[in-house]
Amino acid sequence: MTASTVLRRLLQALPTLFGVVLIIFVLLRVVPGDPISMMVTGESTPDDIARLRRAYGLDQPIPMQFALYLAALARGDFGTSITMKQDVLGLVLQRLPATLELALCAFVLATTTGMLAGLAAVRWRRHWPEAAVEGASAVALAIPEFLWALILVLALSVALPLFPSSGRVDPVVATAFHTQFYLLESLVTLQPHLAAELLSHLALPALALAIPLAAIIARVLRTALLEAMRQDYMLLAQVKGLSPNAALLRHALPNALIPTVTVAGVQVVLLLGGTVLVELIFAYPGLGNMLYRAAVNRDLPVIQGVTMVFSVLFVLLNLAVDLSYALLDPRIRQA
Amino acid sequence: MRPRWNLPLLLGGGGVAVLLLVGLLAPWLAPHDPMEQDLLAQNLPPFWSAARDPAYLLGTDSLGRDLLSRLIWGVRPALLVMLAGTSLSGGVGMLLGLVAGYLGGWADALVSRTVEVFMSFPPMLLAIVLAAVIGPGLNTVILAVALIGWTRFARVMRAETLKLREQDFVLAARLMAVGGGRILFGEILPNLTPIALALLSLEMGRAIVVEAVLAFIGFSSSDIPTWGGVVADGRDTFNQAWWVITSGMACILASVLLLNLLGDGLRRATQRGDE
Amino acid sequence: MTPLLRVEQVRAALPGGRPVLRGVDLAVAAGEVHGLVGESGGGKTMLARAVAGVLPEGVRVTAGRIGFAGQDVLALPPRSRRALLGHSIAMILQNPSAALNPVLRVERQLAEVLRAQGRSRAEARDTALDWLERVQIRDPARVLGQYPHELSGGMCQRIVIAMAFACQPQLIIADEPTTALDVTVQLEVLRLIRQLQRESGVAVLFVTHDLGVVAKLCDRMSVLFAGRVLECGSVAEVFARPAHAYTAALLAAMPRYDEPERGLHPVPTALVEQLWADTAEADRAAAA
Repeated sequence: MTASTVLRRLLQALPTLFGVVLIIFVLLRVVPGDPISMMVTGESTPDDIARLRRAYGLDQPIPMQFALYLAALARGDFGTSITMKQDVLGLVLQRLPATLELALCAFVLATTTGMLAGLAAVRWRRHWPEAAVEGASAVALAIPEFLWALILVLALSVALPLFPSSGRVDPVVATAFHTQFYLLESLVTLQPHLAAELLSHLALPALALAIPLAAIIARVLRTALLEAMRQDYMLLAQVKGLSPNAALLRHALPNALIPTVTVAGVQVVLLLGGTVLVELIFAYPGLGNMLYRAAVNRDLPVIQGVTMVFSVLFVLLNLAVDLSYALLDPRIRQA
Repeated sequence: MRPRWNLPLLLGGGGVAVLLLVGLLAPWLAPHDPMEQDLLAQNLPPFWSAARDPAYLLGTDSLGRDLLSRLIWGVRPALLVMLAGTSLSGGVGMLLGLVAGYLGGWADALVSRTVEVFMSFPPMLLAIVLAAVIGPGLNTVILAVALIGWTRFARVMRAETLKLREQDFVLAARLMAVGGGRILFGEILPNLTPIALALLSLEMGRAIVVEAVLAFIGFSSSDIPTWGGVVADGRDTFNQAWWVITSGMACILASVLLLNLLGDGLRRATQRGDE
Repeated sequence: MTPLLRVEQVRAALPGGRPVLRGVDLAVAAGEVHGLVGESGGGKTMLARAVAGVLPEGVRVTAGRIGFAGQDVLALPPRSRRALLGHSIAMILQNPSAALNPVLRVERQLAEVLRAQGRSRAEARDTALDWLERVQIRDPARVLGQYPHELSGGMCQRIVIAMAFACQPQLIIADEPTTALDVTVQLEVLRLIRQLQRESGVAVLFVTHDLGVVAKLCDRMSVLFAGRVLECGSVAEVFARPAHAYTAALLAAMPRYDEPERGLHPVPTALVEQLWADTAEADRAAAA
């Protein structure tokens, strides 16, 4: 896989991004009529309103407005928050690390538990681990993510106060950080007590996000491993004298990962989207919460900014999933 | 194709029918006005507890409202959103998918690209943006369900139509110069009914969850009782009245499971005998 | 002298209880190339896999004894039995493209065998190169870095053969190693196996349905039908004086390019049906 492949795929994603921008523009500028109506107060005179309209380019025809909007985006100008009176891009980038750390923790949690469960189900086939993995993944997938988040809060925070039910970090501790990547910073600067504090806050939201992904990975990996075990190369691995564990890990697993990534890749993208809901339930100060507050206050520039960032992340993540097939499967890599 | 009855179909179908009945008969079934507050009867426990009040079968919430009545009335918005939302998303999504799959070419490219763009938004984000733009309310929730769900219908229908288009009976119809519309609706659509039904019931389950979530975060109508609202009310008073949030969650979970069961049953009932 | 491999009255059954091996006797001496012939469904592959101890899931050896190098392998604990594989016993499979792992480079798959013998990574690579040359692969350094889908079936089978001989085993079980290959490649691969066998003196249990291959390659042969050995002897002896009517029919069915005027004589259906009927009768008697 070469850099040109990556570049080509990035270029292919451009029309999608253009469509995203167009939809945000239509939703936020055209449908509600006029963003100015949300800015003005009772005391504004018609003159004030006209001045604001000119200042925002709203007296221009719609296609012209779209062009102006695109030009502003290209300059990195996402506008100014109506309620916070700050540059939207700055606000969004300040919140992005919290969401990324949450999504990444959930991803790591989901892939490790899902893979271990899938491997265990196959290694001890027809014994209790397989039945346990099958049962647990069925339950995990039957219950919607929203209810999982509530169940976790009620069980592990309210009923049994093991974890904090909300927030990212104790506000007193938060002043100790220099960057917004709290968890990363605490790990890099070797401050385990801070990392533990952050992880105790992350545990429940990350778990709520991880449950469906882990269940899907466990199920698909199990099926794919069983399929791989039926292939001749597993027989050859056996007659080479490899132990069942070595044959499973070195020969079946690399093959089984290909279908697993195909199926779970979609779910990884959904996990990133799921942060919006989970952040709301756990009052986690990331992009999702910022979006919610902006929606309540009808702070349109912030809504635009968060939506753009999420869409770009989605497009990039989809790209990463696509490219990871090629990393896993030499037959695709050289095609 | 004769439908075959099976246990999931009976359980799921029966459960959904009961849900529909409860929704229709809510005014007669509910023992109390769901909005009526009785500040002398706050956080009363359900019937199995010693401290119960026989007037309130499932107890009351922190404002002294009858929980059972709120849950019964909560069936209505859930069903309304489910039916209206999936009709919209299913109607639009399936039509676009069919057209894209059957016509191919630029129509397919246009639909596929649009689906791709819509799938670049996290579903909850779409719902929240919509609520911000047109304000909270049931209409917002229904539109949100439609906006989130139509891409799945379009994608599945497109793929299935594409598969069917190349099959012998469709080719035969084309050779006999049967019109495009008649092929699409006469030959292709009947073959897609099983998968469409299963997809619809799955999406109905999702619609119930979306409704609950939006009510939970306060983006649904605040004038009517909703399950999501019951969950939101009960969350802060879990330690005094655990039955409020758990009963709300149980209603959401039960209806989602029933719809999934129905979808599973429909899939089995309409599958070809050889599968 | 006790033979290297001695199979005595081995019976095996499918999960449902249907017998696949019905009391097989077989002996392979050290250094001998033994042909195991018979029609498909006759239990050749099952016997081969029973000897290696890698029967498909659910298939069980229900009776009999398999002696290898003086030990009763059926009585060995699974770990010790596994330890024979890759060291004392190696195997060549029928379909070379499926036998190599599609997502691993040739080097890794070949080195796995060599590393198990205690070689370092660098030694394993040198030895792997050496082996690729011995199985007559051109440009071995390049092939080591390639994936199976980039190689022809013949190349893949040479690699599988290299793996088997690189184990330096006492016995190689070759399960129809040329069936999936083109006719021209078949001959080269057979010559290769014969040559490597002469150099190393390893015993080979060669499973095939092709009597022509047996004639070219084997010292002794056994004819297997419905999970039972009908006849056993040196290849010359059996070809000259087949003792069983089925063997005679098989020999008569061999296409003879040197005597084209003989025409084709397929194995008579009546004979095969009679043999299967006898087998079913015996199964019923055994079950009763």
